[in-house]
Amino acid sequence: MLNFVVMNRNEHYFLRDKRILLVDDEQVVLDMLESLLKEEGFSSIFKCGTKKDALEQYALHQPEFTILDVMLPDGDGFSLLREIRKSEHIPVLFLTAKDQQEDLLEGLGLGADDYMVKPFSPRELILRIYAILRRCYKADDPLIILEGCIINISKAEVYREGEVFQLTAKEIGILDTLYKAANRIVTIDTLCNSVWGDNRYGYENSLMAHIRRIREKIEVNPSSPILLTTIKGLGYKLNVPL
Amino acid sequence: MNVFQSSIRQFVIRTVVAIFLIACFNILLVGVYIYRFQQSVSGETAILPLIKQISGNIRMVDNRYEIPDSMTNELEKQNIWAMLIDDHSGKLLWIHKLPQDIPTHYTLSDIASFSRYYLKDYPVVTWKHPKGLIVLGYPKNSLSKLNYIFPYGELQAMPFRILFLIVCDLFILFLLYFYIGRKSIKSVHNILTGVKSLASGDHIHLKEHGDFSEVANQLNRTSDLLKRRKTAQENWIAGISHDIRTPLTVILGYAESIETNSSLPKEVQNKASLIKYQSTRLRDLVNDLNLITRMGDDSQVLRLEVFYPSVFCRALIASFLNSGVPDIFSVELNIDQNSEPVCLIGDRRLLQRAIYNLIHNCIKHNPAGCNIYVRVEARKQDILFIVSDDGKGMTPEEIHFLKTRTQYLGSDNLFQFKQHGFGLYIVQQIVKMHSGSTGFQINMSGGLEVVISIPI
Repeated sequence: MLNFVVMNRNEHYFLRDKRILLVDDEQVVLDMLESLLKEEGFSSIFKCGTKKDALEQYALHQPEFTILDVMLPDGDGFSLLREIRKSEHIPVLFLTAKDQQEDLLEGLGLGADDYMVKPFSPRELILRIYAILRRCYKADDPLIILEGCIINISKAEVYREGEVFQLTAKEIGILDTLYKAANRIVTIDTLCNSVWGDNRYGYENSLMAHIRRIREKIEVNPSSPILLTTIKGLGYKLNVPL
Repeated sequence: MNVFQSSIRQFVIRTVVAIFLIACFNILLVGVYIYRFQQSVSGETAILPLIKQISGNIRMVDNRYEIPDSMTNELEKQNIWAMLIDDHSGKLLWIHKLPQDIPTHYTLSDIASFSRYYLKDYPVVTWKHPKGLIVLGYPKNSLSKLNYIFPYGELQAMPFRILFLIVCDLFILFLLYFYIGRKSIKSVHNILTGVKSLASGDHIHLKEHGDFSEVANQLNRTSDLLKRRKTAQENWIAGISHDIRTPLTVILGYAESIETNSSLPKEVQNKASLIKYQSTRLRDLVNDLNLITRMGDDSQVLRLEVFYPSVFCRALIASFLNSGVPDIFSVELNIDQNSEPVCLIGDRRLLQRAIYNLIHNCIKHNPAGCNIYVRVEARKQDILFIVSDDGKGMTPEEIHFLKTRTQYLGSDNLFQFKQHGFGLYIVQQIVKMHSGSTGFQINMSGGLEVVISIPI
């Protein structure tokens, strides 16, 4: 199994249970994607090569996440997305073979959750799929299990060494953003933006103070952090162990 | 001097030379005419010498006036009649072949009248004689007699007047030339501008009217043809790159899957890693080829945005690291405090590509690993993106080549690009599109340092 992304067991099963529809006109790409997803632990995967088939599969299986190719033999992914979105809002990741379509995807504002240009790194694809699924589907009682501590986001509590530490709203916001991009670097700009809004400039010191306080709650040794690490000059990374 | 000015200058010179040649030809003709006129007036058989000879040679023989036979023959030959009018009586003292309609008696007013003009439509010339007046009558319509009276002052001013007239003529000629030629010049200008645009690879559509409509039509057709060929070339490259992407996706997908599958032997994983690395190179090549084709004809229009270079670089490096960088490489970002609040107007996506290419080059050219340093610095008018490494660097010759190489699509030396690829060329082009500059140098640790300077 690839296990590109490591998660706690709760979320592990919760997200990997989602029904995924793959739409691509190339059978080899469909097979490869299916193989990747199965290796990652996803079990409900449906494949189709045309827009018509996709609509039928959609009606039949009610997928919870879709990976769409832009170019299809009987239409395009954009019109398919519009038709799907008429009835329900399900998360969509576009795959495109033309880099000019990046512009189109950005400009169209169709509400696609993400897009990737072929050929893509499978590791990155899986990371993005998880990021989208985490954003769109939340477990009833999401627990972040880190090495030596557990974080309950909904209760804003950290359990470590038999103690319970309360998290502030800002700390929850920061942890939530870091967790959604688990094991990936999140820039200080993204963190400031997610917690304070657009006005990024001038919040770096406040962010550092919040990070320090989070470390005091989750790390065994806050001065030598191993769970919430600083990436010099860039931002922070939440290391989620197996 | 541009092509237009040069061609106009040549046109004017040719016109002046043509006018000069025509003037010379006219002067030559007038000269010949004057010479021939002089000959007719002053030659032996001319009018004045003949009448002077008759006047000098007419003699009284047996109470009759006579002229020598040679003169009689000359008069006969030219069909001239003649008479001698007595000074006192006005009667005729001598005649020769006098036509019947010519009177035989003349008053002073008759003489004054015909001496200036004609006698019964015969052009006549007169000459004095001790006894009276010799008159030679030429056949009708053989000579024209013109009498002009000019004030003396006017005659003196005549050369200046003629000069003035010539100057006026020249002035009018040039006015007419500019008036008539203006439209043609305009058409020529349009044509020349079109040709220049065509030569620099732009698509043109000239208005097809006026003197050069046919030329404009041909140029438009040529431009359309070139555009079609260029589009076909772009479509071909886009099509090829599109078709390559699908198999690459599959290769890359499975290669990475095998590479990370810990249940497989290490040797197989390493081979998969190699396949993945080479596929990534192919992917980058396809991306570069696409971009370079679009930049080649300037159709890649900048999509300008306002953004913070510091935020931009942090996101870029984070994304680069998140996509997975081998452990033998490290990427360190250093942002100068002064550059934090600086905003830049530019094409974020293209600049991202430029910096990505630079970082990727560090990895590509240092397979044994290296430390990569990215710095952002603010200068008075510029923002600098500096990418350097502590790898093997470049030779001064290679740096010289990078600084001086020609455009890829315009170069016929493909060997150069086989050696150095498209990566840095794309960086140079993107920076150029942002009116910036790219510098290459060897840093303190012997690695290559590339400095991108973009005006704020």
